[in-house]
Order: sequence, then C-alpha cells, then structure tokens
Amino acid sequence: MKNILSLISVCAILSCAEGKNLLRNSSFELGSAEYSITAGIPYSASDFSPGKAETDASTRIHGKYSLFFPNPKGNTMQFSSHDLRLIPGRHYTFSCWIKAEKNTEVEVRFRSCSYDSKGYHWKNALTVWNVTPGWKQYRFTFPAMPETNPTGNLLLIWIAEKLWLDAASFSETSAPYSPAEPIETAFDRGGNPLLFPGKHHFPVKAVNYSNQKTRHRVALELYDVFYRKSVPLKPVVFDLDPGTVAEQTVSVNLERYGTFELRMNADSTPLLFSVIGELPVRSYSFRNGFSVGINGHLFHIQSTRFQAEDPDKSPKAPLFGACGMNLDEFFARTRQCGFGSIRLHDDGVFYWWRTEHECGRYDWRITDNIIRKARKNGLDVLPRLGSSEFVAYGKDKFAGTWIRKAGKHTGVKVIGRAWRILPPPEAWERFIYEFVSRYRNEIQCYEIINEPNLFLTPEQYTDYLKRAYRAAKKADPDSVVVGFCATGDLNGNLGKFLEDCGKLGAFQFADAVSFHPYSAQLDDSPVPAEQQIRQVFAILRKYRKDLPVWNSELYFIQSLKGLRKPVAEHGEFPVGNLVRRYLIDLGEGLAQSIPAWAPRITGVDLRPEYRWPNYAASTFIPNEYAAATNAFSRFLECGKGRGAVPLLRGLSAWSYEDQNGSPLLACWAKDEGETFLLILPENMQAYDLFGNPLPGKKIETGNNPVYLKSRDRNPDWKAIQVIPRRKLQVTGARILAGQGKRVLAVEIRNNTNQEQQTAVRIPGTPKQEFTLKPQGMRTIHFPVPAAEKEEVGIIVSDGSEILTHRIRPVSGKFCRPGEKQTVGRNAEFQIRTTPEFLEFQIQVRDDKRGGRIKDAPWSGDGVELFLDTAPGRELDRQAYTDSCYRLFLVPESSNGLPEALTGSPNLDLRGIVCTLNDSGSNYTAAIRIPWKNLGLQGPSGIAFDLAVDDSDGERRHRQDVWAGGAENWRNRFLFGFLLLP
Amino acid sequence: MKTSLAFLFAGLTIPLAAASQLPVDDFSQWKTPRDWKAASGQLEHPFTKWTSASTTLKLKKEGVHRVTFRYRTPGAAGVPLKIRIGTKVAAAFPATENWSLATVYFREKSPVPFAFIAERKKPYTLQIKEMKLEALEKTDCRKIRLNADDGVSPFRTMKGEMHQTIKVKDHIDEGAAFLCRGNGAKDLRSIELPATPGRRYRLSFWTKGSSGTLRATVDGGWFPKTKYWSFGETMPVSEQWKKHSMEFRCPTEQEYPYLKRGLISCRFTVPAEQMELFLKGIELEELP
Repeated sequence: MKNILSLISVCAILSCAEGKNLLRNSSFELGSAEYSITAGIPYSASDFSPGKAETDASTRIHGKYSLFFPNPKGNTMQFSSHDLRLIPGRHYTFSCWIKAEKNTEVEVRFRSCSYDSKGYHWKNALTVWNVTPGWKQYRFTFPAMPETNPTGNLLLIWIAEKLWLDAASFSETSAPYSPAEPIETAFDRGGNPLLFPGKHHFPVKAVNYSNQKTRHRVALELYDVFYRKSVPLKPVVFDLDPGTVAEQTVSVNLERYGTFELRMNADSTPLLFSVIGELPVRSYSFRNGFSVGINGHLFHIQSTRFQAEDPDKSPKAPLFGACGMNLDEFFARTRQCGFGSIRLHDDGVFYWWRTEHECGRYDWRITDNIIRKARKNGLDVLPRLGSSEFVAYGKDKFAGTWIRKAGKHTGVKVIGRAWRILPPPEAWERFIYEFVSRYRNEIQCYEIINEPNLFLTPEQYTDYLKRAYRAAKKADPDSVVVGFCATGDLNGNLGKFLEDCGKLGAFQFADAVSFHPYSAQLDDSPVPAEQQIRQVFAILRKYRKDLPVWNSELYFIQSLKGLRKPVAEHGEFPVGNLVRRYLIDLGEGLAQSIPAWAPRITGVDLRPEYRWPNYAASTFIPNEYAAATNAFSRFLECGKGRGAVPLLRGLSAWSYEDQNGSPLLACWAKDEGETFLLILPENMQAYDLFGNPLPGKKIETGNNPVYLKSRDRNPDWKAIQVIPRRKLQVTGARILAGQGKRVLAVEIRNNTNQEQQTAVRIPGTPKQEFTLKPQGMRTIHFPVPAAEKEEVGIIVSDGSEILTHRIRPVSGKFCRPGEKQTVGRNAEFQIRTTPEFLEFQIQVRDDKRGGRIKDAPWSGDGVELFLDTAPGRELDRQAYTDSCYRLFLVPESSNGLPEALTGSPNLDLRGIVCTLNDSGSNYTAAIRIPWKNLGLQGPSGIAFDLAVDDSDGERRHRQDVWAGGAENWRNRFLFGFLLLP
Repeated sequence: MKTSLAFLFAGLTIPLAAASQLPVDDFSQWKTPRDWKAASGQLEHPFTKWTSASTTLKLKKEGVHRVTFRYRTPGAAGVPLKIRIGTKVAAAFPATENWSLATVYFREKSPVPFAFIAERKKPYTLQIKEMKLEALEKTDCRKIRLNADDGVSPFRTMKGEMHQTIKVKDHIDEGAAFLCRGNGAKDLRSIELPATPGRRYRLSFWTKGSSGTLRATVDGGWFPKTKYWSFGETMPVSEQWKKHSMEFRCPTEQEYPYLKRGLISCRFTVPAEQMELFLKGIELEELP
C-alpha cells in the first residue's frame, strides 16, 4: 500500500502543543523502541517464546515501516506504550492505523495508577476495536483523568496471529497523524538487562522525518540509580538523510556494580540495566546452606481478557509475561541476581484449588513448569501449601471451588474482616501427599499454611500441620516440613502462637520453623530484630532443640520509630534495609532469609509513573535491590554468622565466614540518619552495598551496610577505629513526674569511647553541664515547655559542636494519690501510697459476667495494671524494659474459671495483697503492691496505666484504658503518671 | 537641629575579680566647651561638627587599666565614638541605637589625659553613662571575653555592612551573637586586648554561617614605619555552630619592639558571597 501520508505530513508536525503527538516512535521506524510487546502465555504451556515485533517494509501507512506482530500460537499479546504525561481534566484521543490477517478484537486500554498519602488511585478507560483485514484508522477519546492521575500508558491487547500497527497518535486533538518530533532517537531494548562488568555495546537508532538532511548530536550519560550520579559519555552523531533511519553503537565500559540508566538528551526512555558479579555457584539448593530468597516471584501480564472464564468463577490464572525472555530466562536472571530460592506465595498462580481443580483430579502443568524450570535454572523452590483455603473475605473469590464448598464455615471472624474456613482435613492430607509425591525428585522443602496465627487456633493449626507432616513423610521421608509461618503482622502475636503450639506438641510435626518478623523488622525497631529471633529460638528450645528457623516473609522493611503498623506493602524502603535484614538473619543463625516480594526487585523502565510495578514492568529488569542481593550472595551465600561484634554502640557490626571460611564483617549505623567514620587497618578493604571496593582506609558508614574483608585469617575487627559523626545524641524526651511535679525529661547519650563534657539546654532555660562517661547515658530534667505538645529544640554541646535535636516529647495523663480517676464509663480508681506500698482501689460496674480463656486473663472480665518504674530511662525505646511490670486481676468467669491475680514473669507476687468483692457482675478490688516488689525503695513517680476488660460472652469484647490504648501491651510510652507530692 | 551631647554619669562600684576600681572625676569636673549645661548628672551642649569632653585619669600604678562605660549614639549612622587616651586615639566604638557597654584597655603612666571625641557632619546625640576605671591584675587579663550581650562595641566593621548583635536561640549559651550580613566581603576588628609579649595565647570562638571559610587573625596593630606582626588561620564555616581555636605565641619585644605596648586585637574576615556569619563566645586566653 502506498504511503498515504507523505513526507509532506511532516510539515504538519504541529507546533501547537495541544495537537502534539505524545507517543514517541509512533511511526515505528525505530522498531518497537519505546514500547514493549509481551506474549501472555499460560504457565501450563510448553512454549514460552517471548512476544515479537518486527518492522515490515512491505506494508505501511507512514514512513518506511509498519510494526508487525507474528503470533502463530494465538497467545494474548500485550503491546504497551511508555508513560504519557497528561493535563488532568483534558480529553485525549488515541488513534492508530491497524490491520489484521483476519477480523479480530483489539482491547485498547488507557491505564493509570498513582500513589500518595491517601493510597492508590487507579483509573482505567477501555474500549474494544473490531479490527479487520486492510488498513484502517481507529480512534478513541478517553475520559479526562483527575488531578490524582497525571500520567498513564496505553495497552493494546489481542490474540490475532498476525497484526500490524502504524501511525499511532495520542493527543488532545484529532489532527492528522504526525510524529512527535522531526528527529527521534531511541535505545534498542532487546538486550539482557543483567550485565557483567566490562565493555558493552548498546545500539542507538535515529530517524529523520524531515525533508532535510540533518546532523543530529545525541549527548549521552551513564546514571547510577542508587548514588544518583551521572557520568557523561562520548556523544553520538548521526548524519541523517530525509526519511531515513540509522543505527550506531555506543560502547560503555561498565566498571562498577549497581543499577544504571543509559540516558540521552532527547525525549526518550533511558535504558535500565544492572551490573552484577558472577556467583560462586550457579545452582543452589536449600541443603547447601544459607541463602536469600524471594516471594511471589512470577511475572504476569495484567490482562486476562481473552482467557476463558473459570467454570467455578474463580480468578483466571494469570499469564506469564514473555517479554524479552522466556520462563527459563526469567528464572536464570533471578538466580543470577543472587536469589537461592523462590517462595511460591502471593504470586496469583499457586493455589491448592488451582492444582486440584476437582476433588481427586490434579492438573500439574503449572507447578511442573514453575518448579522444574526454576530448579533447572539453579533456584530452589519453597511451595507454601495452604493459605486462602482457610479464610474467606466478604467477596469470596473462591466461593465456587469445591474446596470452599467442602470446607467448614466456622462463623468465626478473624483478622477483623474475614471468616475462618476449615478445609476438609482428609482432602488436605491427600493433597499434601500428592504434591510431595509429585515433586520428591525436584524439591525437598514445603511450608505449611501462610500466617495461620491470624485465622486458626493453635489447636486447629497443629492438626493440619500434623496431617501435612504425616502425608509429606509418607510421600518422601526426606522431605523438610517448614511449619508455623507465624506472623507479627496485623497484630499477630507470633511468640504466643509458637508457645501455644509448642505446648500442644506441634514441633514434632515440623523439620523447620518459619516466621514473618513484621513486628521486629530491623535492629533499630522498638523490638530489635535480633531480639525477636532470639526469643523465637528460646521458645523452640523449650520444646525441640536445634530446629532450624526461617524468615519466610517481610515485604516491607522500615525502621520503625513508632509502634504503628507499617503503611503499605508497596511502600518504598531503602535498599540497605533489605541487606540489613539478610545480614541480621544470617548473623543470628537463621537457616534461610526470604523477606522480599517480587515487585520490590523489579525495575521499571518504560512506565515508572505507573505505581504497580507488577503491571508496569516490561521484562524482568532486576533493579538495585536485586543488584544488592547479588553482592550479598557473592559474599555470603552458604556462609555462617559468627556473632555480633561490639565496636561502638549505634554501629551494628556482625562477623561472618563465607562459604570458603574467609572472614567478613558487615556494619552499618543502626539509627536512621546516623553516620560513623571507620578507620581501617592496612590489611582491610571495604565494599559498598553492591560489592564495589571503597577507596582508602577512612570509610564513612551510614545506614547502608558496608562489607569489610581482611587479608588475615583471624582478623581483629576491634582494631577498626570507629568515630561517630554525632558524639552526643538526644535519644528521647518525655514529660513525666519528677520531684513532685511535671518535668520534661531528656535523655542524652554519649556515642563515643571517650568522656564528653556535655552541656544541654532548651530555649528559655539555663544550660546544664555534666560529664558523660564513654557510651554513657543520662536523663536530665527541664521545666515543661508552655507548648508541650509541640516539638522542642534541645540544644546539645560537646564543647566543640552544637547541635539542636528537635523532638516531640512523649506525654501522658497524670494523677495524684487520692484523686478519683475514671476508666471508660463504668470504672473508677484511685491510688493510695504509703512509704511501704502502692495501692489501687478500683470499682467496676458490669451488667454481665462473661467468659475468658484459660491462662489468658486479658481475654475476660478483669483489670490490667501496667507499671513502669523507670519511665525516664531508655527514652528511645517504647518497648518494655526490665522495669516494666504487669498485673492481672480477674474475678470468677462465667465459664467457671476462678478469680485470680497473676503478673508478668518479672514481678514477684509474694507480698502483693489483693482483696476482691464480687457481686457476680460488678466488682471492687484493692491491690496493694509493696514498693520493693517493684524494685523501689519507697514512693516514686512511676508511670502506670489501668485497663478494664469486659466480657459478656465467650471472651472480651471491650477494653477501656485510663491513659493509653490497645498498644499498651508493648508500648510503655502510652502509660500515664503518678504525681507524688 | 543642634547636636547635643548628653553625658549621663552614674557611679556604679561593682568590683571585678582582682581588679580595683579607681575614682573618676564627676562629669561636672570635666573639661568641656563653653555653654555646656550640667543638671542632674547630665551634660548637654550644642556643637557643630566636632566636640570633645575630657578629663585626667589618675592611676595608682603602672600596668593594664580598663575603662568601661555605656554609650549610645542614636542617629549617628556609622560615625564612631573615639576615645583618646594620652596622645593617641585608643579606640573607636561603632555607632549604635541601643545602649552598648564599651571597654577599652590601656597601659599608660599617670596622670593620663582621657577624652571622648565625637565628630559628624550631621547632628546626632551621644549619651554616655556608668563610666568606670579599673586597674587590672595579671589574673584579670588571663581570660578576656568579647561578649555580644554588651552590644556592638567590642568590634568595628572595617569592611562590609555594619555588624549587629542578635539574640540567638540555638546556641548552648543564652544571649546574643555578633552577626555580619551581606554579599560582600566582611572584616571585623576587635577592641585592643591586653597581651604580654612572649606569652602563648589561645583565641577561641563559636561560629556558624553560610558555608565557606573564615580567617581569624590576631595582630599588634598597624603603625607606620613599624615592622608588622600578625598570626592567622583559615577555618571552615558551616551552618551548625562549631567552636574553633587557634594558639599562638605573642612575639617578644625583641622580635617586634612595638608589641611592648602590650595590646593586640583580633580580626575576622569572611570572603564575598558568604551571606552570613555569626560569632559568639570569643575568648582570648593566656596559656600556662
């Protein structure tokens, strides 16, 4: 077909911004540059060849080529544009010349996904074109986008075996087609986005749409994504005749590890890639030792339009997004990044009901492909068996499956918004047997039920675990059953769950224990990560020693300054945090660390403004999280932890041995924003997060880990000099009771190994001067500022530097002895003190006595006391200290449990006198606690709180708290204060 | 409008350390131009362009003496108040709208003429009160502080916009700091401070400002046909308060004969384009 739109149309390259075509390479003279073409292939398929696009000179509308898509297998083809920046509120029209070999439907979608403090904003607009043989121009005008969605991108989806595109336009007007610019340049994206150091060649193409010969200079730079630094490269110059396309090659010497963009000074998408090192071992197995893994790591396209509906109306199986890679290549890249395993969970594919679609009939095609190809490419696989089968939400996607129909709907609400379902135990056991039998020659480890502590009782879980264990061992005696998978997410109390399961004997039905440390993410969390790991080990030691422990999920890794729940699984967190978690897990002796979720490690080149990476990514481009994982694995896969090395408080330092026995130290500043200067001895070398050697012997270390290697076999790590950037630090401030009045307590810490002459003041007060011992801490008191809820500037000087620390003091309620205090609507108390004791006199009005759970006094009617006898200490730590105590006083419950006074393990109950007057519903109590039981000589302005629990049925349904709230059980900063005269 | 000089004198006697206060003649005894009126401890006199009020200070012994007085010069706009002691102008204090405590150190033989000299084309008012004369012991001279709470008087601006004092809220010590602002280069010179030739000293100070550098210098003053001595260091300036110090030896009289006058001053120089410089807690301390 002749060129309908001649070069003269170039003159119509609109100077008017409204009519400007926002699509780059819209005439496809540069091939598919600026677009991605993905073949959506069922995971059950036998051929995962990626989608292709070819320039076709034999038929075109504009320029010399159209873009042709051969699709002999009839896969779902997804053609996606780069990001398009819009003006919200305006209408845009997409037009495109298309032809197909046969009549076919093409879905056209404009999609946008943005993210702000209010969450995600999804906007989709779609239409369907009925495309015929013969070129025809199709148009669609999309509804205007709101302010929340100023960018979007286009998707075209079809299944035709042959389709052509040309002359695409996206603009505010319906003007005749014209390209975006008279000269366009673009990188060719066909290459592997994972490179090893060395010289690499990158093709760059240019097209001249104008009617004049043009010399076009393209300035290039190499941009380091993590360090945000650019290095200019030699420019490329094109001499272009009118209407021609040319290609040149840019040679770049890639000397550093990391993630980079090759950028040009034109409006074109940078080329994103990572530079990694070779792993010592190509193929990994859990048997080999410690490794880091990845969750949910499959790669789908968004559309399921052309897939048949599931007869059960269950979600359609996603399609593998074969773009620039097949499934083998996808797994190979994953392994090259340093991941040893993938955990089959949260991938949208792996479900019991999908494998056993009818009772007793199994379709193994999907899991065969995934597991066998992953193994073939060096990855081990941890299938998580059992998840959504045990819980149903309001709109139950799986309601039509036989497993759901056969399950027992308990009517018990869990996680606040879902229902507990108990799948048929025999079917469960049978499925485990079949699954393990199927893959006994490929994999060994199986995880049993995701986060069961959120929706199953310990008894229920133990039963399912026992059945799974029995079935797995019958199918493969060498199988490794990874049990418990307990989570700290969503207020899940993982420690209690493990303890309760232990009491039931559940640990004999597992070969390893997994947990999800959401409630203790890093070493600077309120409960430090390593402390939680030790607590888990301590629990296990009571019931079964030497069980390996795995961290099998931690999607978001943020240093928590408060005990608030992390905002979203998709929130950004620093790359260094991921590696810190790996290092803590290995350092504390975990057998495996599988924290991250797949979107975290996926780079997005063409559509970074689309904030759901799973759907925005074109091909799997491992990003800086993956590049950092590669470095970790090169250093420490199959290594061993040798314990923490106390160099200086505030610097976390851990010693390791790599798989060859060579020593290595990893260290980082624990607290956010802190830095330390390390001065290394001659025989040590430092490396950054990506394994790049750091020059010199003076290494500035912030929150991102630094690796240190020594030439000595047994290095003395303590020979490293550590100098904190901030000698003195304000760790916290709190308004509390001091000397009979409210005072502002400020805690100062000496970060150095020397004495520091310290001066501190807050504006409007004289300074206080004192000497702080090396690594010492002191709490000093100031008058309470007038605006006590505002931030206070605390000025600290070490004699050579002054820093102002801005901090919002923690505050709380105050009361004096004898003052009547109310708790909710139905309880009061007052406090009495003598030189010998502290007494609470409590009155509770209750219309109905309810039940409670044995050994869980907080689960029924009763009173809880929270006490902190050193509220001015460790002001950087909201978690309980050794000076925190708890008391529970419960009347007799409606289910026959007797009245009782119990306390936390650190509280000696001897000498504590309690009198309870119980009418059967209302009750009054007096609890007299000797000061010495609290470790005090006499009356002291302690922090405390009092909660009244109310149960009217089986268990507590309400809790009223005098000062704090629901987080009292782990946040001592919520308590109020006793103000003594 | 006639310029009037109002001298207000209040005799305060607060001894400092080992310093011993010496009597100063009441202003009514001072030598002043004709038609001056004295009432309630205040002298006023209309003058044009130049005027002076003088007295003779009777010193009991040789050594370092210190005169302090409070002054202000509303409307003076940059014209300094000079002090002549003996035959030389010993100090010049910057104009200030607010009361400032001025200090001048000197070594002279008794009796020594002392005069305030005010000169300006346009009229303004000069007010002076609380004048005090002290004979200092060695211990009094061991550590000398230039305090911004005294007002602008401890320094003169030699280059750049006139310096000022400002209360700062972010320093460990309450009170004011000296502040230089403006785009151009800045140069501050302090009053002369007692220093013994041959002794070691430390000049220390807190500073913060626009990121860049600061040059701190001490010298014995500049005199024609005299070998000039100075010592200086360049220090970084950051946006956080940092304390700097420099140690130096005051040369002997043999090395620099003019230093036998026993007085040095310090200078702070900031290059152009560093918009702000704060100085606080400036101390000259004799080292053992």
